[in-house]
Amino acid sequence: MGDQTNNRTMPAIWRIFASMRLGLVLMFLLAGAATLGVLLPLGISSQGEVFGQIVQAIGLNRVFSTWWFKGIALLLAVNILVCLVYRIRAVIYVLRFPRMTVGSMDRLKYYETFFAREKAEEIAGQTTQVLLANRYRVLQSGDEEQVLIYADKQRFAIVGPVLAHIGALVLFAGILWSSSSSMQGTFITGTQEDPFKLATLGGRLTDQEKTLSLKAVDVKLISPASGVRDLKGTLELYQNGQMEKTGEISYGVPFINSNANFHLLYNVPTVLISTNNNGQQDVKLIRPTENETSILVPNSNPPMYISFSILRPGTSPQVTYTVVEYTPSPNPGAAVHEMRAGEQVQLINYPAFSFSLVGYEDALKLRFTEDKGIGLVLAGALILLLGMCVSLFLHYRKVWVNLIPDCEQVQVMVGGYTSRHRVNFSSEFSGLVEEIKS
Amino acid sequence: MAFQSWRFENAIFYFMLAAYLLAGIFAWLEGFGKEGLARRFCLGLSVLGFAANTLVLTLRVMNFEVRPVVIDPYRLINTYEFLLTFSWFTVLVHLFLARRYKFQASGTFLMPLVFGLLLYGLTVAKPASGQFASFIVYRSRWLLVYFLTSALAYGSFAISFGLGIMYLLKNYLHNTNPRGHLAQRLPGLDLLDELGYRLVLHGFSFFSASLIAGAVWNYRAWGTVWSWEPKEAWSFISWLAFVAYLHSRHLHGWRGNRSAWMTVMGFLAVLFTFIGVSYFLPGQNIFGL
Repeated sequence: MGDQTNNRTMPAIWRIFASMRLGLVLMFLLAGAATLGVLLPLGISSQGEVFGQIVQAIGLNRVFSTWWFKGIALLLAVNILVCLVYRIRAVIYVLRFPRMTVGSMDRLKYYETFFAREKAEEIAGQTTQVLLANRYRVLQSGDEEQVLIYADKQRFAIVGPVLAHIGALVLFAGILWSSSSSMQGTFITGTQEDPFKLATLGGRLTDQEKTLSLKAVDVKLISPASGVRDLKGTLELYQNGQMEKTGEISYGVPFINSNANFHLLYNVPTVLISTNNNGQQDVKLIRPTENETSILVPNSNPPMYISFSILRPGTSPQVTYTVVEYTPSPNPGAAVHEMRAGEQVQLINYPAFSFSLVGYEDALKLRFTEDKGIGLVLAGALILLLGMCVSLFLHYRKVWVNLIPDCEQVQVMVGGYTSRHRVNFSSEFSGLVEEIKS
Repeated sequence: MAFQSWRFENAIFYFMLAAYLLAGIFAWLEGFGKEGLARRFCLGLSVLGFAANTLVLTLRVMNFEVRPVVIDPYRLINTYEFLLTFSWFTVLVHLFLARRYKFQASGTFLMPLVFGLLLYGLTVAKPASGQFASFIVYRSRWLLVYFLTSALAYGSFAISFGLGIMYLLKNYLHNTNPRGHLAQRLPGLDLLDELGYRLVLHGFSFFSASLIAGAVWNYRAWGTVWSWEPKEAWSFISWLAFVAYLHSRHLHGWRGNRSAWMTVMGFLAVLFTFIGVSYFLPGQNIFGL
């Protein structure tokens, strides 16, 4: 994009960012990083001590939230912005000052020449009529030696890619704003309870300006016989102790209050770990928002903890666990073990205590979101689509006609150019030449 | 006796499957020398298969469990129905190319692809009988827009993939055996390149629209626009692949072989997003779209 500008006057850094090649490289990097982010499981950090530390340091187990992934995206945004600056200038120039002549017309892909016996003015008039009839914009110039006719059609097609890139930038800004200014909180059903007992659940969310508390009442399954949990209930929202709003909430249909949305989610996998201490059983949950938890071994001296983390959230029930002594800080060199569903583990030093992985259970979650950047995200998306539609449905076509008087005849040279829809333009160009000839 | 729509639909579905399979076989026979009759059979069977496909789709959106019978487009929201819509659009474009550009050869690669996808739909994805249509969360216009634009995008990419393969084959034959029957039967390189590009452009616009509609539905239903779950991440990767294709073509003039390879790779990425991710990287996307 930036190739059209004077490279000598451009600082090196601008030259780099104005290069489309950099854009392509960044896109490949982004795609590669996204592939890594999808393919590498979250539990990869527990696969060996040294390897685990490297993975943790680079953030391969959480690619999408790493600084380097965001950095690549930011560099791409800067690249688009710089390219756009040059592109907008070039587009405005092309729209304002169309190129009336081409260096050597016979090198154009679409080119024909013939001789006519009429006067140059007559041919020019007829050519103009033909081009106007075909919805071309026609400009004419010339002198005694030759007549130059320039015509173009759907020139605003070149605005399409510019709009699409502006849309992409606005979208990016919206995502940035969303991630920096939005607030999110969750309420999850309590331990071991029927996950549908949201009616008993209350919670508090606090931000800088207000304290929100809410209560969900009368949550019911709409179609209990079905395999899918379709929930419906009533939500009461309190602000600073006063009820602000009450309304229905159901699975997939949010409860909306100003900018804040409340979403009822059900299929949140929660890991259940069963413990047995001298016949006294208990269940510990690893909630999806935590991804890890720890249990204090009863009567252990010095205090001994077992920390659990989910190996691959949402897939096979599998956790890793580490037994660590707190004396006073956790032992960093402790071995990490994997535990599958149904497996039971007994500690050598505390034979009365055992634990096992029960598996996953679907928990119910109430998510609260306040997204200030969503408007910008949608605006960016719309501009992006608009730009694409302009690019798709319009295509810029240019025709040049040179009339050169030569003795008793006039040499007519017709050239055409399009960057797209060549098959269609080929027949359109032939038709135009035939009409001019006739 | 009550009208048993599923029996009728099954019969039509198998008829459609057989028609597409035979159309593919005749398309290949035509390519290898049985000109004339094979071409007519290929085209005729494609038209019959397309009519049956239209009928099956119509029956899918009709809810016969209530009286009077109602048309409910939300019954389409499932993998099997998605494949029916995808194949319907793909065959429609194939027939358009055959009529507009006398370009029957597109069936050589498209009909076996359509047959394979429908077979996958029948054996693995299976009909849903409007399974999701009764739930409030799936009765969203945004989800419907997402579904339709995805089907159009996948269809466009499938055809551009077929054209890309044909380009590579034609180019290879052009260099090795230009007078061979298959080389003569395939359309010109310029036409293949141009049509492939145009379909990618359409597919890319539909794909972008589907990502946006999906994100809006996600936000409405779950409170997040984008959560980087495997399906979303692979959609993003596929989208980037086509962004790279369009930019390399516009700004670096990549055409011909390189361009054809990129359409092939892009479609494979899309296919992995659709089928591969559901199996190898399961996430929250329950109906595989």
